[in-house]
Amino acid sequence: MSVNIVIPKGIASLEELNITNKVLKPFSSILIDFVNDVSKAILKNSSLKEYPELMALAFWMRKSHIKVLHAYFKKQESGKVLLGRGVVFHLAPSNVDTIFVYSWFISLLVGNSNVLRISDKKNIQTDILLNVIGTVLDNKKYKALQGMVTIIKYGHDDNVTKRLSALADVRVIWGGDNTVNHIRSIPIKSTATELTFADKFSFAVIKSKTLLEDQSLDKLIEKFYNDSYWFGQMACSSIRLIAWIGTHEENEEAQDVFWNKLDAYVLKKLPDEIAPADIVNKLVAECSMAIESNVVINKMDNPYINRVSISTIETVKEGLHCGTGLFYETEVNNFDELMPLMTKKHQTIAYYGYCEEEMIKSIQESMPIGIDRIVPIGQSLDFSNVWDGFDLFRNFCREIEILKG
Amino acid sequence: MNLDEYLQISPYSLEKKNKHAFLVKELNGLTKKHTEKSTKYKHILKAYNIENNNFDTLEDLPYLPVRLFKEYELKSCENSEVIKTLTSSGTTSQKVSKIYLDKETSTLQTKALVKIMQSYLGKQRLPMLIIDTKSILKDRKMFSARGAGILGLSTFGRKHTYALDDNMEIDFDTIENFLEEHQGKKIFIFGFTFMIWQYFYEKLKEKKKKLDLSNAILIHSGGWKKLVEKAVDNITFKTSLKEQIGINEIHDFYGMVEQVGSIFVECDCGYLHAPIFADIIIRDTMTLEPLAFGTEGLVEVLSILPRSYPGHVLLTEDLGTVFGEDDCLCGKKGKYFKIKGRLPKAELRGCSDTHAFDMKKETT
Repeated sequence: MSVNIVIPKGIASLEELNITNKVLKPFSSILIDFVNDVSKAILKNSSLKEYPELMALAFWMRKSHIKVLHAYFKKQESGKVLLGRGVVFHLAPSNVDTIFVYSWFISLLVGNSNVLRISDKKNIQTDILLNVIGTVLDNKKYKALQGMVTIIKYGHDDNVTKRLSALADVRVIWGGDNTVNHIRSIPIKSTATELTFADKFSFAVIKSKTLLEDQSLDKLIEKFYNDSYWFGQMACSSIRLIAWIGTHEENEEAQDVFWNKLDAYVLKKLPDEIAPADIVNKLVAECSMAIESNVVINKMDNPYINRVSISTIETVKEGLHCGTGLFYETEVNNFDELMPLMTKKHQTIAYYGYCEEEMIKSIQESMPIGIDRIVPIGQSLDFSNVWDGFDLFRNFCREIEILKG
Repeated sequence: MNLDEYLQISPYSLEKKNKHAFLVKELNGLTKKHTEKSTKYKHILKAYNIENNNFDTLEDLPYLPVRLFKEYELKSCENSEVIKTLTSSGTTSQKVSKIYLDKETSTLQTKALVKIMQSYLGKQRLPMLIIDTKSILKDRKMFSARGAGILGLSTFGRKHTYALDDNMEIDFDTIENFLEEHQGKKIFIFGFTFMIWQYFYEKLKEKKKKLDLSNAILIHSGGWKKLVEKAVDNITFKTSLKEQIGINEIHDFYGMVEQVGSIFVECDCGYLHAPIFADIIIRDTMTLEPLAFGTEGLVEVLSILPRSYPGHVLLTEDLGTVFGEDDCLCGKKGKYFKIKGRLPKAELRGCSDTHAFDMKKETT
């Protein structure tokens, strides 16, 4: 078993680990201070400045936001007692996004002891982040967190996963469908629970008429860019399809305006993480889509944007999407038409040209099978304590019911 | 000139103008044929809205990414007409290309290969030493591109003799007998680049054994990926072999299972050459626009041989540089180029694959 125990420092093997299953009081000051200190350390670290997603993470973790989360938690707590479940074992994706850090911190804030599995693949961003966390934890005032913060790097070793799973009261799996299915075959305690975050597909809905009347389109373009190009367009919440809503004429006109603007913006930004291999992957994806369904490929003179028009969202093969600036497009007359087409695989709808009330009403009436989040364009990648339909605070806590005598 | 006449002329004899004119006509015809016969191919051209186009230049012709042959069965003939299915080499976890040949394509491949090989080996079939094990032909599981390659090239030799035994050890007795029998005669040696290096050259060197193969011509292929890892380039390969076995004439060739027959053989000046049946275009790795000579980019290969599958214009994932056309110092016409290696793989992204089960890919 080859493992690299990053935190706690100075431990060479799993046997030496002393993972506590004792919990702390949810939102106790030591927990809030720790999370806030990590946030400050990230914001101060100049080598992390180039990672906007880490900056977003740090903002999410700062004290003022923890207060908001605490207030939310307190509301849930009325009439009962909420306590951490014990040991939470998180399996992070191999190409680490920051997303696992969010779930880790939520679990920590409610007082759980946490074990994190991180892929042994080299990732500079993760290494800097782990280093920052380690340094904050070295501070004497966090001595009480000993045994509660464990971060281990290892490869595809089921034996390690088995041992750590046996300790877990909650297991959290972030990963593709194969990963989720495979790890599920490794047992957890009969009293343990499991949260899985499998592959999902997200898209934008744009009301063409609103777009054509919008005087400040640049804002939309910037938000759309962030929602789709960050994480190489491969996060579960990345925008990978646009449903244009309106008459065909409106949609065509809106598409012209939109793609021209985005074209110019992308060329200004030059997302340098898009490499030649991605260009070939997108070509393969286009041809594959053309083979599997009736599509129209609208060639742009811009290697960072590939557009594939499809007849309906139902023909999307999620597995063929390779990210890095590939957009499916479809047209519908109105938002409600989309709802019967939703499946368990659909996660986020990023909307433009609608208001929140309209969305709530539509969902209440159509009761779609899928869809976990509906957010304005620009907030697709914002993490929330409610993810894939689970409230993480609730799932990381035991609810102790206490009845009146 | 029709195709039959074209196949008769010397494979490195045509100048750009005539060659391009013939290829453009032939490849437009193939594009049309494949559109009619392969629904998948037709769907692709239709999606790009170029279904009925005629293309004026080689650069304008639509290319398929070569990986598509790993994902889909692409065929432009009836199942009953398929006489042979070729598969690419690959480890078990890797998808392989499947190439369907009808009689016409298979015959054309042979004819083209004969013309190309004869220009290096002469018309007489030479005694042939194969740097591999005979068991490669027996073991059906191993019988992939390596076995097919050996079989394909065997046509150009006689008295086929395998230099390695079943345990991949050098069979010195057999080699010595072979050399004795054909003393003073020209010998044809064939093998895969990496096999020659690892199982032949390195073992000879280790055992401090020298052989006299000064009158042999070595033709090899299979790519440099594993040798690059050992910091062995083409020049090192040639000088090392010359030192160990005295060989003077060594030709690498670049080819792929998706375009068997129209291979690109290395000339005496060390450049790979496009024969008249094929051409090569280098494209910018980001914009995919054609590049000028001397600039490295993504390799596109064109061949007039594929009739039973739409593989006549393919964008590979190899990097290379064309250095010129018709003016190589070796005297052969056509474009001459070098291959640098594979395009680096895209990095893994997103929330997927904590374990990345099916990502353990390796190319040979």
